[in-house]
Amino acid sequence: MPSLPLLEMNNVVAGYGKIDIVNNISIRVNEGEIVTLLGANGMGKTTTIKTILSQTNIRKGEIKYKGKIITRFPTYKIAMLGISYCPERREIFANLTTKENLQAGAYLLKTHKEFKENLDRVYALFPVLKKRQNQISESLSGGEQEMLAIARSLMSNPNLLLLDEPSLGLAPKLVELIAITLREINDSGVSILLIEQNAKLALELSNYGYLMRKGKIAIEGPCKELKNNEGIKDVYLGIATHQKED
Amino acid sequence: MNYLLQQIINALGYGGVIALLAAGYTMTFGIINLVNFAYGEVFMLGAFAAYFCINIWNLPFWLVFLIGIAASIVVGFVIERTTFKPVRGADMVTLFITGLGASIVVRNLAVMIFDDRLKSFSLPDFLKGLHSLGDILLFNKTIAIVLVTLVIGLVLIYLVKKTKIGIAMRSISYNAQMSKCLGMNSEKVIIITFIISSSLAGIAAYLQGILFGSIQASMGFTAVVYAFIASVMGGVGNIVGAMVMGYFLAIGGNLFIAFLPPDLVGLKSLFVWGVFFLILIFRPSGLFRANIK
Amino acid sequence: MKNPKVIYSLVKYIVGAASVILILFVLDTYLSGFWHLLFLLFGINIILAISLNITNAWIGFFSIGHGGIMLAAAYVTAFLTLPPSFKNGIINLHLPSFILNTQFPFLPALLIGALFGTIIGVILVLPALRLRSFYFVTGTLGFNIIMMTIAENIPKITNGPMGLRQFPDYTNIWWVWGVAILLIYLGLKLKKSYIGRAFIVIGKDPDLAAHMGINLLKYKTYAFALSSFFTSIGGILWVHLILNLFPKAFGLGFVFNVVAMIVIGGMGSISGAVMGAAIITCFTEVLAPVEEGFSVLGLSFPPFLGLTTVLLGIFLIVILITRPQGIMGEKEIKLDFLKRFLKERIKLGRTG
Repeated sequence: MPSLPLLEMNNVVAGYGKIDIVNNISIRVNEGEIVTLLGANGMGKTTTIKTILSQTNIRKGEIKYKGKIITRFPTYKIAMLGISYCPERREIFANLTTKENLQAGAYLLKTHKEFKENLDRVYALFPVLKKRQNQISESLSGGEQEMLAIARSLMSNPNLLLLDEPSLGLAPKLVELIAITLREINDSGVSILLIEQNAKLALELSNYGYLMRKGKIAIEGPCKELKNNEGIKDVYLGIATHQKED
Repeated sequence: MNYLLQQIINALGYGGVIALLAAGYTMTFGIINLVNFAYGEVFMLGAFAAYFCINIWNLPFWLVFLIGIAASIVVGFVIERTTFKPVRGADMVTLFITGLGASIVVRNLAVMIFDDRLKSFSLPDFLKGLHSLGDILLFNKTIAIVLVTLVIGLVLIYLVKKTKIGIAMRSISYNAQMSKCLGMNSEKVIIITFIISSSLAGIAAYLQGILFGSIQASMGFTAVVYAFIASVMGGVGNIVGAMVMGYFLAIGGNLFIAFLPPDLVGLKSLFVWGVFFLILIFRPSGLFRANIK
Repeated sequence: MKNPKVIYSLVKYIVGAASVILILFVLDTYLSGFWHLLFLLFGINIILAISLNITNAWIGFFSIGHGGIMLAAAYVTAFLTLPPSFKNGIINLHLPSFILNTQFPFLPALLIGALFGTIIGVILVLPALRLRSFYFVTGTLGFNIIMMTIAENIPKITNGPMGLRQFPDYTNIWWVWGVAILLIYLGLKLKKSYIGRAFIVIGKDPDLAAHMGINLLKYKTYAFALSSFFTSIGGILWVHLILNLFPKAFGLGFVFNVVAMIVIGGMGSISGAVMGAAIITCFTEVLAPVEEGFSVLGLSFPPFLGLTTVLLGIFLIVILITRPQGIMGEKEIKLDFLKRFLKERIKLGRTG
């Protein structure tokens, strides 16, 4: 077990403008792990991830990657360090084709050989993307766009993948596929910081979890323990009920 | 019939100038949503720089050409830093007024300093002469301009579709925040876009100089209006669309006044604006797809 | 027994009107040539600035088309007010003969011209209203250019680029300041009235306005009609002051002047418009002699044509960068403290 975490956030206070959304957040992602942020909507999960990327106003605290401070680094420099992002609403470039989106994801690669290798790898993970490679990405279905977003974030050979709500709006079968794919990705050496409202999926997939409530960490622990935690069960139950109502 | 053909051929030269300007204009318009009327003055000052090189220092034409481009790049940079950077992020109307204001300021300064008379711009010897195909006259310089425009067009298409920087430009134009998360340095790319755009203005300036044999301090405004309208018609950010529309406006303008009685020649701009209004009313997003560069 | 409040406000209005008339009379008689001209220009600029606020600031449709409207209105009025000796004699305008041979008095000519300007303004803006704000502005720019181009290219009617001269000297302090004060009063009252507030809601949040039951199209039309009407009057007064009219008269530089007035004064504020008009008027008139070249302390400066526009442009850009809301923002000068001050003095006067 490596002693130095891949990513750590220590006592971070951040938000937008003058408003703080996350208050005193401390999170750790160790190499090889899948760590999940749980919590209801609006509790600050996405803000936490955006803070790592310097897309928020960081008032206090520090963020370290591989032991080095990266707080407030320009977003593109953080990407260059090997941190990749798959945002909540996918945010694929609708004006580009599928393949071009992947090319954009591969922006940091140095050689065409690397690009080709990674392209083949993501096509292997998501064969449907290969089928649609020359289609304008705007015309892809919701599930295909999610796959594209994840694939794009893998193109740069990241060490750490920040993944926000990959299962949002997807059919259960697709969610299963995504889960399997995430496990594969993790097995190949990519650490993942995952935000998921689907607590069941998150807890099954992840090693460690943090439950956020109103911008603070309320509960944390290895997922094996969290599964039996009453507080989490509330969240889980809440999600389950919500899903039944759909 | 021959008369019409001649009108079309006559317009090919100016069409090239406008096509290049429109391409440059649509690039900045597309990537940071900036309507830059001061672009016309970048164009004009590039022409004047070239003019001084020819008339004062008697430099060879290729050096003049390069200096014109360099001048445009410098002017474009200065205008961007002084007028646009401080208001970056403001709403489009404010940006428009700022750009319009800047163009008025620079244009009037130029008229004050250089006066608005026509200044003769010499044509390099190897471009002189013409061919006649039956009744129709075709100038060598027109051929040169069309060739240059074609080559540059192809280069731009290659740049935008096949190179890394092209992908970066297109991504940033769609979603700058996400592009940064992929490692793209958006500031750098925007500056590069500005440089390319200013260079296009410099090239177009030299071409207009040799086409008309003269330049004048107020040449920027008409040109930038054509460039703007061509960009909108071609779809904002669409380089090919802008270039095609540039040619369309030039050729259309000539044909328009060909059908009018000779004393109404001044109404050419009516054609251009008329087309613009028609497009706006019937198809506000332009004829070609918007946002694809 | 009439309500004392009614009598009080009636007295207020009569005293107010009387004092204004008295002040104008005094100014008219005693102001010398340069200051007189300055004062008239100031008044015309107030008219133009307040009119522009209605469309650009209140309903939020930033327009730079007022040049074209003034041009149209000015030419129509010119056809009516120019002496037949000019229309028929010196130049041969191809207008109906009853126009060529008569010279209208100012009021009907003014109204007809303003009406024409209003109709043009409204008709041309209607299809453009659904354009996004930025395309709308460019459309108005196009409108200006088209009007100028037409005016230049139908010499049989407009005498082309040479323009029209020999205007009767109709503009005087009463016309200019009568309209200006009317407009200030109207503007202030409108701002507090339903119509005015509807305008402002349309500008700030059109969806909300629609939900409140405001007929967007109707009110936008009203706003443009009102604005065009008074802009036309401003243009007509201008032409009958400087006594010539040519296609480039209301070109981009002129248009920009008015924009500068409302930006500097504060978009949406009537008092701001007045202040902006004051500043720009002084600015322009102080720089006018510099433009023509002058000599000071033995050094002679060459003419710097266009200097005013350059400096004004720079000034405007600086304002947009440093204080985009202008002097007043959207607010008006609060007269409360002035009222209280006067009341104190009156009280002291009574007891003392």
